[in-house]
Amino acid sequence: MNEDKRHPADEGKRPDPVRDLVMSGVATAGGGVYRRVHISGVGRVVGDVVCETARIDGVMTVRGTLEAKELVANGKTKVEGALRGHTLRLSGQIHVDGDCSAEVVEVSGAIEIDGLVSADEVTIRLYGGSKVRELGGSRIRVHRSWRWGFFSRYRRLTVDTVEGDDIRLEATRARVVRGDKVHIGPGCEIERVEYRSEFRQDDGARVNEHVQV
Amino acid sequence: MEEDLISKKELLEVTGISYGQLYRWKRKRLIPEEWFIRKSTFTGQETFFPRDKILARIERIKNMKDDLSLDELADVFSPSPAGVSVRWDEVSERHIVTEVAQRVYRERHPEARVLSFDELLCLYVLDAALQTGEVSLDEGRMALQLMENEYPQLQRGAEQGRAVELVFVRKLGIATCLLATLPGELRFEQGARVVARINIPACVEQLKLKLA
Repeated sequence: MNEDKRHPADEGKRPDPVRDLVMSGVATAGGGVYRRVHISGVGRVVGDVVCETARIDGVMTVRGTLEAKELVANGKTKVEGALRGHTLRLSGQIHVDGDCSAEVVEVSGAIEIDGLVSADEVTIRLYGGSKVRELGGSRIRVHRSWRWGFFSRYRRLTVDTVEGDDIRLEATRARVVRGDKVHIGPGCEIERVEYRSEFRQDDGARVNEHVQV
Repeated sequence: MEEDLISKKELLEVTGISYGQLYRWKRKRLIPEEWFIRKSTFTGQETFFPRDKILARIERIKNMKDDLSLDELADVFSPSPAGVSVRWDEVSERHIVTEVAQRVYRERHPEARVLSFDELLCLYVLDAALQTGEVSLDEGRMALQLMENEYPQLQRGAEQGRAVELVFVRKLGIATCLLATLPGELRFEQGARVVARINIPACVEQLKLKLA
């Protein structure tokens, strides 16, 4: 059930200490350096994980920091440390206790991140109530999901501070939004917007005050 | 020790960089995590930076980012040693340190032919100390010995972002020197005089630039 597999390409070559971590079913493993991490089912990793690519289908808990160049997570992922990488594609339910930093972060689902989310490009499609302490980056997008449902009005993002160069928000409740170009879309409740060059506010958005700095 | 702080907003205004750049540099560890100081203000939590350090750092990044990639820059600013070694004749050819410093170092290591980064750092710190004009050759020898014996033990702290300083103290013509890890406070008795303070992470940075 819990196997440490050597990469097929390495067979016959010099022994390579970097292995894959493949878990299916219900399994627990220790942290470490891996090439590919693939989890389907219920997986738990105790310790920090550093890997090239990670794919999580199912429920995954990392008791430590997860660092993956490329991470695809479907299902429920919980990281009890920081989440770092280059490209993070997260869908489903994601909970991170620390900071989340990458170049590209794409989320569709519900996230709860107790630290800073920092990436060049952050795209969040909300499918449930989400909470983030801080959002920072260059291009930041928050969209409400299309699907309509009884609970759809709970689909909103609560965040303290959003800072970026080009910001577009929907269904977001924030204390401060600071940026160069700021576009506040429907369903937002923003206490204060500080912008440099451009500010737009759609119908159905509430902004307490906006100042050009 | 109350430091002069600058708010994030003011920083962006003064330096003309964008939020995207600031966050990118933070991710690449060009700006150390400890410089992001969170403080409550009447509008809520805001981020502040130590003013002099951050302004100097951003100026340097802006100047160098056209020549070096961000990852190379991160290496320059990280306090961990670079994995380079330099031949002894290169040290004089490339004018990495002055001849006086070379001579002092030669006395101690007459047969050194290749210097690792750590050894070179000791030499460089010695040179920096001598160049202040406040430190005599004897004190320099002492400092070199101190650096070689004790700095390796402090290096772990240095890599975690704590600054190490070399302090020269003199009293009634008797001189000594010590290595201190910052932040921390040093107090001296009345008759003692601090002659020179050498910031080691700054030396690491300068040395890496010279070698680059």
